[in-house]
Amino acid sequence: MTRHVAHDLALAPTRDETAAQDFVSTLRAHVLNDMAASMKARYEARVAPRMAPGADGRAILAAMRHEPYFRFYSAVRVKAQEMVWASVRPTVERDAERLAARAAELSADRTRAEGTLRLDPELPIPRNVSALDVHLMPGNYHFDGGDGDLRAGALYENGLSVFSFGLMGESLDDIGCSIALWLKLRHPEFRPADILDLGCSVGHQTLPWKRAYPDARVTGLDVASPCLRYAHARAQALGLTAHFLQADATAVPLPDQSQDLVFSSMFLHELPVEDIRAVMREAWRLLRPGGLMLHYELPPNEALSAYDGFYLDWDSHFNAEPFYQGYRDLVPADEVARAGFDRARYFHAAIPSLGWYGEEAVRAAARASGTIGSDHVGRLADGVLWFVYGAWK
Amino acid sequence: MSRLPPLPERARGARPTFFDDPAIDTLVAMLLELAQEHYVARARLAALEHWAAHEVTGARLPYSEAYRLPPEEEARLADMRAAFVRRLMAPIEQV
Ligand SMILES: C[S@@+](CC[C@H](N)C(=O)[O-])C[C@H]1O[C@@H](n2cnc3c(N)ncnc32)[C@H](O)[C@@H]1O
Repeated sequence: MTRHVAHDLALAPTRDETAAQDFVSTLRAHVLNDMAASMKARYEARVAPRMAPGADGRAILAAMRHEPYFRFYSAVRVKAQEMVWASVRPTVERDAERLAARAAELSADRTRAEGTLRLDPELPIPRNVSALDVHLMPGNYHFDGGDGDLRAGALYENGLSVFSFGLMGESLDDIGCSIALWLKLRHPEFRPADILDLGCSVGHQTLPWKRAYPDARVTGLDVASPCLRYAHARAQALGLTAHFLQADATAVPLPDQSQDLVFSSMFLHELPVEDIRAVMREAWRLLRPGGLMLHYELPPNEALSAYDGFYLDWDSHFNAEPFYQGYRDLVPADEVARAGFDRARYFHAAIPSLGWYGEEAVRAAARASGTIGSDHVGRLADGVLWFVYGAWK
Repeated sequence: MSRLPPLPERARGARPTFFDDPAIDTLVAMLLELAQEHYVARARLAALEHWAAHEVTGARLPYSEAYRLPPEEEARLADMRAAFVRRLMAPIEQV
């Protein structure tokens, strides 16, 4: 159920705070598993027969808005989302100074790892971050109270533990671990020397690359300084050398053809379309020939039924994710080609969660062709499969 | 927090509402706060009972351990929590 953060930056919640977090996790699991299944059954029994043929996700939302069940599902889910952050914020605030001091020690301790942190206080924060609080996280990723402040990173990591009710793995890195294993199995000849993770936040999916390719130089990039401070300290705590860089992924301050793998996770859907395109052009520029651009993302609308599209877009309308639906309307293969990649070298795949299904399932997926035939793809609920796509340069 | 300005308490922007009368959205939110607080009290009670049982048998625990439940009792509490949330939400299945 709830996996509480357990490395050196772990907070010290009171028993009441832990209980409050556990309650929110259980509530979310109920909403996203049980209520989601009930809602779909009601849709099929009561709403689908009235829908015009070819109705899309938007039409389904318009119809569902009148359904009492959808209203309860949504009202509970919005409140549960607020409760995620409210349940960890007091602990983060109380522990902030201790956490900052511990982070400084970890950073200085070169016997653990030799990671670096490069912040750029002059960097303009893009409006997709500065102008809103994505998924209702108060202060968003970038709220920076000054030197050494890593509270936004702590809020994000501890909140995500509550939010994901165990589905993201012990270290919240199931996405990265599953994908890195899949890539190694599918392309054993590919040995990246330089790996870049765009929009890395606190580095959850950055570090699995260092585990998978220990000789590689692994860099995580983000605009949010408090998340990067936390990412750096967390990597040091886990004994993995990684380099964190404050920069905008639409204009990466790294040389042409300096990377072999340009990765992102849960990132592109938080950007306006023009920035998504700029990021992909940057990936093309940064990659050496033979390199790989790889994104973990929500599956695109074209790959889903209208109902699943409606279901995933809930966040876009009600969870302060204004770019989510616009992102999912794009066709990944078109975007990849627009950025300069050869369309023939585009691929996508649904990778079983390593934590949920185990290694054998990832091996089987690595042998299979990339089809997306399940409503578990990209949906945070029991039995999730992670959707990835990419292209070789 | 002494040195740092406090983190904002609430995310920016208005929350969406779903019912014809938005007072129902408000009531749902209030009910969930109440349910959470109820569970927090239940969890605390479970810890106290565990501690009291040790007191009665004379098996004194160090203070830091007293309120921590052993894994099997944590698991029982987790089951109770899941059952509680199901009961709390069960009326919605009737709408
Ligand atoms: C959902 S989080 C990513 C989570 C992380 N990649 C993972 O999988 O664990 C999105 C991140 O993108 C960052 N971000 C948003 N716009 C950005 C931009 N233009 N350049 C770099 N980072 C950006 C945000 O600060 C935030 O940390």
